[in-house]
Amino acid sequence: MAADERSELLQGTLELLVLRTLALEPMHGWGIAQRIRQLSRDTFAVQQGSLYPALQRMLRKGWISGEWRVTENNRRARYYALTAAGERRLSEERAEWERASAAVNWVLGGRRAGGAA
Amino acid sequence: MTRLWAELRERVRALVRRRDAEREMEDEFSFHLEMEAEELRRTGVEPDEAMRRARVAFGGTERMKEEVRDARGVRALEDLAFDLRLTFRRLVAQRGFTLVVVLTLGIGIGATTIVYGLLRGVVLAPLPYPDPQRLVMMEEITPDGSRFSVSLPNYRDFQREQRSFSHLAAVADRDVALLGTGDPLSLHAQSASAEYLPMFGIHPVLGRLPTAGEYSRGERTVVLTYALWQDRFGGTPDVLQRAIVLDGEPYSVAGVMPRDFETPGEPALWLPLANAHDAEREDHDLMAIGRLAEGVAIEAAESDLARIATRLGEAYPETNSGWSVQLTSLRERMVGESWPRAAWILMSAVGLLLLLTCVNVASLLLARSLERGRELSLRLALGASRGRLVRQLLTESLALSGLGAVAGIAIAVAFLPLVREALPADTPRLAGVKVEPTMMFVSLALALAVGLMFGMAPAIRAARMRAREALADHARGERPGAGRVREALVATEIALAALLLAGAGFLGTSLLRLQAVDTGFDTAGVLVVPLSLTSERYADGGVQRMVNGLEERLGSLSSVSAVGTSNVTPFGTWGTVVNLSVEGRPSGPGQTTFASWRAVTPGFFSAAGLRLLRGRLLENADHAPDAPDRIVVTETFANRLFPESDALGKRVAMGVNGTNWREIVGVVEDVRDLEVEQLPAPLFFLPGIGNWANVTLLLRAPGQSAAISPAVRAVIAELDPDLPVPAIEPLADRVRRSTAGPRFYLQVMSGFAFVALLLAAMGVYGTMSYTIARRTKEFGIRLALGARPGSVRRLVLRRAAVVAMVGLTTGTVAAVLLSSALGSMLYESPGVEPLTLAIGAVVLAAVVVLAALIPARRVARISAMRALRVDG
Repeated sequence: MAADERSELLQGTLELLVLRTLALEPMHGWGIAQRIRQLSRDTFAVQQGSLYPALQRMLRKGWISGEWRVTENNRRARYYALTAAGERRLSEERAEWERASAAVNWVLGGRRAGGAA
Repeated sequence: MTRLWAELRERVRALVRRRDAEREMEDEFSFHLEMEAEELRRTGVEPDEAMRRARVAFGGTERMKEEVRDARGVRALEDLAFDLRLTFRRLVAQRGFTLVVVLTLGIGIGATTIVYGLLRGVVLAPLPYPDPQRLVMMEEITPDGSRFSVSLPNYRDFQREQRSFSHLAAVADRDVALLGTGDPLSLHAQSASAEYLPMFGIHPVLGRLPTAGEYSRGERTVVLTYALWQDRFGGTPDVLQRAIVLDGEPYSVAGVMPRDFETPGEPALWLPLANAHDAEREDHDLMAIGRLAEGVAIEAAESDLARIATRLGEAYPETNSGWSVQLTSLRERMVGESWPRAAWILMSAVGLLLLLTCVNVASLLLARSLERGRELSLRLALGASRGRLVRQLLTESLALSGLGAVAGIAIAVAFLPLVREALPADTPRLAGVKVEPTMMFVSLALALAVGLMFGMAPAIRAARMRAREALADHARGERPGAGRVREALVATEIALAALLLAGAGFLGTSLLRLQAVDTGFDTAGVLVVPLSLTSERYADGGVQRMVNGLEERLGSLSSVSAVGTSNVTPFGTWGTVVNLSVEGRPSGPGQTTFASWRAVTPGFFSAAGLRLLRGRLLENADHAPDAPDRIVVTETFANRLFPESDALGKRVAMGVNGTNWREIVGVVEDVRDLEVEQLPAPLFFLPGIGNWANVTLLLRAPGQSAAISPAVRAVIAELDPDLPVPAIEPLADRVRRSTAGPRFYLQVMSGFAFVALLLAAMGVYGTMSYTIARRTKEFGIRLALGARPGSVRRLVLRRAAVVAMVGLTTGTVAAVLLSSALGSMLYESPGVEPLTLAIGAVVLAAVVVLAALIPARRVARISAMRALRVDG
């Protein structure tokens, strides 16, 4: 049970991270993984493969769209882009996240929560 | 809205373009891995190491693929299609296994469905009339407690004074000759009181039912059955305007009953019951049936009638004192007593068989599932989710059970006509025996339950274990627990087979005893010729004249050695019983002596082959009109009525206060002339046919019985061209038919026992083969260490012998305990039959040993080297 709750939490976090990454520019799976690694300063240590089920779920929910394109090194890759629904979702998620982390920070020591980057 | 639409589109796309999606996923994963490896190489990692690290960072690709597939949201449908394809392929690949499981289940379900159809159609189904539970049969009970038909004067009194019935009707069997519609036709008819047909609550399809007024005025009107109307009157409505001739008298047709209208006795038509005012209270020849008034319980109606019976006993002490009345549900009475018992016993037997087939399938599935343990753990290790495996196994089990159920229904539909054919001709409500959907569903549910229970066991185990453990566990060989379950299943199979074998054995020895019964007749070469001499030309001694003429003509045929006549057809449906007075003994209330009687001609004794014990047989002189009245009695009659002295020379008279004394001149061996199973009743023969309209000729024509029929018909037609052509039949056939019921039960039970034997053998064979296959390595080690093949084989067989003994003992003990339940179906059961049980056990043991020996021989062929190389 505990394991399920944690993975659910991670799943939500992962989706938020993907949305934020794609808000900058369309990106393929590996690129998203790289960006998340930088964004989370390598603390987000899940297996890279877990990204793909998350992408599939988000495709299904209509937050992102996928398209095969050729990369700058002339390789075929599937690029994901944020849809309008995805953008709405991102701002909702961000607001939610900030509220939640502010609350957590307040509980843990009253330090003023700063918006994460 | 758009989001929903997008989601739907994505799902449909995923479903329709499953293959594309799979390829895209592959491409995407390999792109990712290559990019990651490239990145690592740039930092100076060796190419191979880079790829390895990329994979580690990525996680298990197969597991990720599964998760992506899950995320597509069409897994359930996709998996179902996949599982079905896989199941189909597996079932085809394992044709033998599939066939065995499907056939086994099919036989179990098919047999159960057929037997339930029998039970339901013959015994349980309600009668096809409105409010059938209100219909009851009324019988008079003699002072010594036996059931009796109702006499006409009694019926009239009951009918007038009762307050519990909406209808209380009486009906009498009567044979009539129908003339003027083609060949003369002898018909089984019934004379019915005015209440009789309206009581059933079924309207005629044509015309109307005669009114009570028409009946009481004695008008000659009849009601036809649908079949008679079709066969003899072309099914045209103008039959209502026609007069039909029955026994030479014209009748008008009031109506025709519907096609599916069935009544007790199955007559072809109904005539009015003559309202004879001179009928004797002693002549009990009516069947009384009533419809209880709304809301009246059968017990209340019975006490209502008992009140009237008491009054009649006081008013007519000579004939009615001590008599009472009994009511029985008409359905129960029509079905009879032996059928419900027999049908329930067959149902229990088929239940055991179904159980056995289920156990067999269970053990087959269990064996299969253990073999699949490895496949399952491998798939688990490769990243298949546990739910996914469970679903796959579920699909397979359901597919197998489903196919089994289909086979069962097919078997039931195909074999039901054969079973109906094999049923004794006198089976009540034979037409109602059909495939009952209820039972089909129950059997199907059972099959599914078995499939689920034993097909799922490995899935549940697989779900509990971790992949690595599973592989390791598998390498260790069979788990001890699973072996126990299999052995228990096989022991159960053997026990059930022993039980069914014992049942068949009991029925078989019972039938042997029944067939060995001495009926008193010598049936070899004897033909039975029943005649109904009902037309007006047989009035005033015409019957006796006709019988004399026939006997004279037929007796002169060269191949006929003896000819005789009786008023009762041997092994027919009815006999004649009378209350006797014994000379010198007080008669009166409570002093009743019933005896069967047969009116016969002098030739009857030699034609029937009855054996004289003492005194003499009836002779021609005894038939002379002015001869003293003399009778011949059976041994039981003599012993029962005159236990302390010789019956010869004693005198009895028919009737409670009879005065026409008849002297006993001879004693013959006991005769069973109605049913072989019935113990011989006191019976006497009196000379002369009198005016009895139904007579039966017996012809003894040694070796010629088949060829002589045309000559017999020619003689009859010569003497009376209007007489319907009789059905001529060997006496031996009639005797045989009397044991048709027990023979049928034996056939069914033997069939069950045979299948049970087969299934038990299969169970043993399968388990042995499986055990040996699993222990090949162990045996190899033993052989390598110097064990002789014989001792290894003994090792295997010893285990099988223990299992077989446990099963056999359990089954035999159960058979002993259950034999009392079967007792009521057995003829003169001597209780527990050790010999029958022993024979059954020996047969079963032999089959089991054979089934174990065949795979056990393989042990000897195990080569130590090869066995050790066997993996697993």
